[in-house]
Amino acid sequence: MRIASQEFLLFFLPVTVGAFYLLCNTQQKKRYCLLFASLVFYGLVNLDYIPLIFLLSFITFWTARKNQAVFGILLNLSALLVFKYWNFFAENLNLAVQAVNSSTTLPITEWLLPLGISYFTFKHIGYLLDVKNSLYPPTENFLTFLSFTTYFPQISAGPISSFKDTGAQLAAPVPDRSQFLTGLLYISVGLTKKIFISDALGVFLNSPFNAVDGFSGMAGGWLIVLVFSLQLYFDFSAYTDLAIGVSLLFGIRLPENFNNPYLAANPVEFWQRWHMSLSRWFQVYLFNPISRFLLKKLGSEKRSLAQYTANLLTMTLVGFWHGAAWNFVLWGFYHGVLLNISYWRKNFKNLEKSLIYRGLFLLSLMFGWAFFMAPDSRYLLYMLKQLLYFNGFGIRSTLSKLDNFTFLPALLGALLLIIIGRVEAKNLVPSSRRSFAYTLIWGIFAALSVILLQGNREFLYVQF
Amino acid sequence: MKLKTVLGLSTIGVSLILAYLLYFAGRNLGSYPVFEQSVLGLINLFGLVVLIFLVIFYQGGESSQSRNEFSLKGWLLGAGFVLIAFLGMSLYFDPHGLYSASSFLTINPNARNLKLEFYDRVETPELIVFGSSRAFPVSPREIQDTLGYSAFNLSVEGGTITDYRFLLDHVLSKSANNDPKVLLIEMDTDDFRNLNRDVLLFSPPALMRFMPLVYFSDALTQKVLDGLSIKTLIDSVYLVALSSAAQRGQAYTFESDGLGTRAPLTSDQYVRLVARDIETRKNWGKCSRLSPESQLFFEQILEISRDNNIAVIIYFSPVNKPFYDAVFAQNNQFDRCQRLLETYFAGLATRYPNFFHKNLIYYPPVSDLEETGYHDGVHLKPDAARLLVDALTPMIKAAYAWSISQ
Repeated sequence: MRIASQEFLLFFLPVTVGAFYLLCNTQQKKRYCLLFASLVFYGLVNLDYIPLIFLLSFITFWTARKNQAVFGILLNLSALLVFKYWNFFAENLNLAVQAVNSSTTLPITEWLLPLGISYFTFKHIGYLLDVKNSLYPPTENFLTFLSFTTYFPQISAGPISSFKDTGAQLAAPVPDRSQFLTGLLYISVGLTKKIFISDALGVFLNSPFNAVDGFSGMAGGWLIVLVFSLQLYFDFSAYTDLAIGVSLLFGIRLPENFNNPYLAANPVEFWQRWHMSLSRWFQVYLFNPISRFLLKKLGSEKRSLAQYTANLLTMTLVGFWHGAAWNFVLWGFYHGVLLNISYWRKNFKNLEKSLIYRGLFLLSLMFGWAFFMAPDSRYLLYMLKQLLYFNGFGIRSTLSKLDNFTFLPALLGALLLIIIGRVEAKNLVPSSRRSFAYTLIWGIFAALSVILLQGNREFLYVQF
Repeated sequence: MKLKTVLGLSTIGVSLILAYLLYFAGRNLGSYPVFEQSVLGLINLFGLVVLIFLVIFYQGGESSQSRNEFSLKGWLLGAGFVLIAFLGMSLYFDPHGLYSASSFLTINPNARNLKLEFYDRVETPELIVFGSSRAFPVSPREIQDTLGYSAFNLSVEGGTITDYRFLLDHVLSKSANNDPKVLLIEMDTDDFRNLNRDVLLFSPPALMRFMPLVYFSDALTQKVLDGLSIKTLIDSVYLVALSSAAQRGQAYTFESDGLGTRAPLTSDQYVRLVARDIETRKNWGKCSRLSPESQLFFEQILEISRDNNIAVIIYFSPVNKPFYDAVFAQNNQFDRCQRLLETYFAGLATRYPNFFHKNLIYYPPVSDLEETGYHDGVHLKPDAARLLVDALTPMIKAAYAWSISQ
């Protein structure tokens, strides 16, 4: 079962909401209701890994209380490394070993990735560091902590929240009607963006056009990365809207994750608008400590070097977090370079106001997505060649090879929503617009989107 | 936003819709895949245009608590209206033949409701045929003429043990004190590899009352989800608007005794269909054990039948030679499955004296007929079905004798 599935939206969610409001009539019961629903959800997706999530939650809870944060972090990271990165390291090590003609190889596992491991591991690490830094005391209630770890609207793909925010709300949920309506509208917006824009763009990306030799020239290459840029954004922001909306039905507010990132004027601003919960996590728990450490070691006269190094290291790890593959590492490193360029030219602030600069910045963002979307090195090399004019403009060949234009309305719609600045749910359904007719139309959109789901639809960021 | 911009955007929106309609109007909309893509594309386009207009034009007012309540009702009304409309359409048009022997055509063959309707009009026959579409051409009239037993063909498309289990309950509920004597069940090795619960979607409502709660819930859930799928809209419109095209897609017609007759095919079609059948079945997969769920259901059939003095014959229908050679011959997994089944059936025969079985999966008098005996790799023509019944006649007589001796 997935969050964007008819089973979840038509059965699991209404039953859970019904039980939450009708059967769980005290705050304590509501707390246990949410925990039970989260465990059932996780079990329906990944029953075998319920013991794992229990174990990691308990380890985190216990090590926080015993002031053993480092130990807890190491154990959480070990689990992440084993389930997500083992095969990456094993394959690369085996290649290196073969190069020196040795026969010793590491085994490759066929384990499934536990649902949400990248996300709840980061929640755990964030919690341990917050407690270690005395931002708040460790919780005494394991069930509340388990609820925080397993909370079903955010387990699949975030947003990553802190225990201080979400844990406190889960300990004492206080739903209200205004939030309930907001939740329904967020769900409507999320589903609409997913079905009408993201998946419509996905049809083009899954076509034979988007393959090595399927297209050639700059026109085809840039069209593909443009469509992917929009698909990824709308897909992930749709998921976030859905997650926030589902959570609001229970009176739990999750942090926003996007703020129209393609309107950013520079890389710093982009990362303040894109996947905000992740970039906030990396900034607080990695970038800042690394910067401080480097400044201390190198001295303030080498402040720039410290900044450059911290940027590259942090962003490379951001890339690596996204996937156990070199293309993600390269993508992260590329964004580290962009941040460094931005830091270097900070003396030329007026440049940001120029359209040419902003255009170049957008192109550089799209160029970076080529790394992110590449399924293998052959595709990546081919794509880079097309983007960099190795095979000419290719406008005619692009037009002749494109046999399906059904993605065009979604492409134009996506661009229009971005340009007019109404693409996030908070901008699409503000409280000032919630008339009867307006909400009625969104209700129709929500139901139509559920019908168009036709089974399960996976969100792209769930794979991370 | 300025009026000029608004008008400009409206023009773009309408132009896009018109371009789309013109593009598809020029093509052959009789083809189902083209029709399906057209409708999905149009829904997507309209949705996007409405979304953009909604986002750009709609201004709001002050928010208040009482307004929130009213707005909540608006959302619920909008969502509820669409969901109920789709469910209603699914029930009324029934494009997938889930609820009744529909006055409309069905987009996919599902003779379950029609055959039940035919069955309920006749007196309980002495011999009933269960099975999949491979058993369609087994003629009750010929069984009557050859053996003297009244018969009915209750085989259904994609029939599985799940179907036969609840069909048996239905048969017994209708039979009063005059139960059938013999069940002749066409089965496939796959029936015992896993219990296919997807067929619960197609279970007639009349059979659902016999289902245990888990299967009833599963069937109901599948029907609700089918009703709330966009395919229901597309298929309903296709059937109503393009009924002549849909009519061409109907493969079988059924007589009142359940006999299924297929429209004749050309040689080219035969060759293509055999190739298709081989392609879909050639990756046969592993067979390390039989499905416990299938065994449970099958043994329930045997037990209920035994308790009602009904003999049960299962047979594996013959496939044509090219198909057999390509899919089953020298297939270790298939051989393994066959051995597992032989052992299982031998055990069943000791516990259930009403149980008879015959493996005719490669039966040369039928299998070697190829195009004269088959529509494709597995579906028999009437003459081949006649030969099949001849092959089963001694066993049918023995089974009948057992039943009347109880």
